[in-house]
Amino acid sequence: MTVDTGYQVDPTALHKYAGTAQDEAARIAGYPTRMRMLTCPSADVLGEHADIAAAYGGFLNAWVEEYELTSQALAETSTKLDASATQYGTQDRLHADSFDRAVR
Amino acid sequence: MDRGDLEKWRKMAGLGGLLGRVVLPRAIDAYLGFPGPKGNPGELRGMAGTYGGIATDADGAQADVDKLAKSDLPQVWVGQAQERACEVIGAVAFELEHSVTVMTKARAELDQLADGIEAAQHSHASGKEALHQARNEGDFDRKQSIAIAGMDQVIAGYDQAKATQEASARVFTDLAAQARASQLDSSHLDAADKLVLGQSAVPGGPHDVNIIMSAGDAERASTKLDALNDADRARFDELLDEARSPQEKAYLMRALAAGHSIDEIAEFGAKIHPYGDDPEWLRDHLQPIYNTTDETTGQTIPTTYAGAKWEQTGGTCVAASSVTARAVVDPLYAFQLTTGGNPGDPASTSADAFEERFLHETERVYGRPANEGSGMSKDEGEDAANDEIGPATGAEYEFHDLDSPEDRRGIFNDVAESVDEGRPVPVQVEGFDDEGHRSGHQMMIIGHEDGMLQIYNPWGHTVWVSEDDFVNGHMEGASDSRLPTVDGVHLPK
Repeated sequence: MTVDTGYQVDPTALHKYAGTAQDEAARIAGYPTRMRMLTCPSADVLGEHADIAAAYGGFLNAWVEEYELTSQALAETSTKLDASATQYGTQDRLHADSFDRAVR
Repeated sequence: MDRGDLEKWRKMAGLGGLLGRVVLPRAIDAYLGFPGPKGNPGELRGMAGTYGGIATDADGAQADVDKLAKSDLPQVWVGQAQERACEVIGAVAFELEHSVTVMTKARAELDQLADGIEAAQHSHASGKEALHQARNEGDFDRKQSIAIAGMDQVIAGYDQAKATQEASARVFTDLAAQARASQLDSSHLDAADKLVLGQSAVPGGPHDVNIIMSAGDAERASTKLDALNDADRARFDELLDEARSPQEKAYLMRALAAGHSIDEIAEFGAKIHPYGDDPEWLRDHLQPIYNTTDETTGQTIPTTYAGAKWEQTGGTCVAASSVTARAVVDPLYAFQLTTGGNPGDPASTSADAFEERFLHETERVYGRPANEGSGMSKDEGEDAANDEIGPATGAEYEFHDLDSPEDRRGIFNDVAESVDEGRPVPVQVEGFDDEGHRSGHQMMIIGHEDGMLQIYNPWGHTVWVSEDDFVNGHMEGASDSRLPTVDGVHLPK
């Protein structure tokens, strides 16, 4: 579909890529899940000097949160892509119907 | 019992005569009662494997997401909405790329930690074995010799565990600070906003060393954002919505982080908006320094605006470095210095006009003409840091005298952490000539990467120095041979 406002879209392909974005979001969401399953930070695992367990724990929490945010951002975008594709498709069908009625 | 006690027993165990014969068995028992280094190398290697697996998979995900943003979507969809969507997906790709580096470093660090702990535990166990042997030995000289060797191994195990864990703690603190987007924890931003803002970088060098907002900026901006009243919040939202690039948005957020009012930010936003889709223009006028490479070499890089250096006049190193540091943390201040508030006026944005404003600001901080006096005292330097850098970073600085390599090593992590949080650290260097006359100079620590510090010298350049240079008096690469030794820093409390 080409519109004189300057945008072009292939709604079917857009739906497909919304799905790709959703799959990648789910893939990324798997990383914090794997990180959460790791042994909890403790001196028995990491040692007792320099507050290493707290330093590692800070890293773990920060990156669990960062990956969750990354996954969420991609999932939000996927939802918007899907909604846009649906809307473009609906608009196209509406306009097509109106043309059908005009020529009948 | 701590390491000091181990040393004490070790000295007493070496005594001869009757006293030595009495003390040695007690010293052996004290060492045998000393616990081995904690840590589980097997578990650590398992954890390292998980991070390695995530890095490998994230590398693949990065390639797929990058293709989606750069190739797949633009082929089937053209328009403003597509551009906005690809901004977010592109930010996800950058985030994944950066996370691969972080996860790879985490894997390597956990493996090193495991190796270090294993070696330390081995040394401790060997030492204990020798001490058991010594306890059962009848001949005193032989008993003493075996025991002392065992004690040395126990001490070596302790030292190795401590050194390894200190190094790892530094790395993990550094890696935690690189999770920038999640520092934007404002309830007023959605995940896509946070990621786009957190990943906004200036052009001209590698993306991950040119991110506009530091973790500290993100945290401060979030706090300020959540504290805005409804009317100010609506005005700021409008500025963000109208921004023509992620970079323009990020500078608006930095302005908020630096503590400016919405009126000031709105005026600033209106003036930079015409250049909002020109990230190079934004970079050149809103910050004094960016990185053309991610190599942390000892090469000096000129710090310039339109060919004019950001450099001191006369003995104004404290004032000039404070002015530049303020421009590093406050885009409105940098904008005022580079454009005089008139970005469209060639006379006001010229190199000459910039030099004049830089000198004027330097003299304001210096408190007198640049060619008078012989610099500022440490107290005046502390005031300059608090008055110029403090308001934009929320930091209150205090001076730390650093008289020895131990002092400097002890403070290195705090310096690195401050810089990671977006708070520059004024650093004083000194040296003495053959006749014992002292020379002193102030520079500014503005960056930290893998144990290296980026120094801005108000002679008009930046350079990277190592922790070893900082600790052991080899700062001449950042200044010159007259000024090799760090003798103090102003650090946020």
